[in-house]
Amino acid sequence: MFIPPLPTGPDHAHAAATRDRIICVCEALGLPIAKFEGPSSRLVFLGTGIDTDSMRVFVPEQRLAFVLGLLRDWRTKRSAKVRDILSLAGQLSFLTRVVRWGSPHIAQLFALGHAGRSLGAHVTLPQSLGISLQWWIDALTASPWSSLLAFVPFVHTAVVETDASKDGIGAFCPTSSHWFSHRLTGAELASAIKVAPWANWNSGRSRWL
Amino acid sequence: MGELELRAIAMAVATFAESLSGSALLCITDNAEADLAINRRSSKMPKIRHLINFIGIISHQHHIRVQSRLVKRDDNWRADLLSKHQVDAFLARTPGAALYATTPQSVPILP
Repeated sequence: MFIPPLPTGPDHAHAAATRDRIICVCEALGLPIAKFEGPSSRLVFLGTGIDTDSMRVFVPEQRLAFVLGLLRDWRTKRSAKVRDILSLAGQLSFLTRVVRWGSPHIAQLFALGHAGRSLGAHVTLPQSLGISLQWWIDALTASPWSSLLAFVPFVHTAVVETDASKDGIGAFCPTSSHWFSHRLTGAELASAIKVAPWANWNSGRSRWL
Repeated sequence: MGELELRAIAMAVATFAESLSGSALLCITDNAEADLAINRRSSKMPKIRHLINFIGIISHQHHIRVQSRLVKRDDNWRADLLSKHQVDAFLARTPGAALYATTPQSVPILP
């Protein structure tokens, strides 16, 4: 049984009275109750924790420890069975209810799992998969929870304006009036400069000529 | 250019993350590639993907929801002036902002 968020805080007495009424009604109707928890403002429902005191959804401790152990094992693997890859993808997919930015980091697992091989086939794991797995480890270690507000439709509460020029980056946050103007370093410029194969102006072989 | 524009968003999110904690953040950009990458949370380009990953980690840690909106360059004039280091022009047209200059946080570069 769950105590919904109330503006005055959790009302345990009211929740307990409601619980007693529900049990009475079920007994009168002959309905068996297989499981009854609470009343509580912190419950695990269908594998996801909900806490209406802190207004969060969270990964339950047991599942968190299990998945982190699994991810650390996978970081050292060089190859794996398709079945295991899909199993890991399923575990992580479930956690995207809480870790909302996690979805893009499962795509590669699903792609490896659905490459047309049998479930028992071994697949060599690409190095790039390590980045995604490390992302998950970092995200789950940093904060295995999300605000309940993440589940309401997006209505922005803050704005940031950003732009880049050939040698700088600027950003202004009208919400707080903070701003910065950053001159790009050599490394940042080198990372961004990318000469397209057709843009070979020096040799006169540009596609546009 | 898309990478630089996305780097600008990543740098802004990292710099303002503390003060934006728990907010629903709308990133205004005049670059379609950066806008698409933010709203899709993915890209085929590794460097763009790397920046999205970075934004994702910062957003997750500070519980910031991020979306972007594409605007015309003229409508993004404040950030445009700052990116071209025309700080005086920016301050002249944005009264009160002089007090809020911030040192930007660095964003890792993909090796």
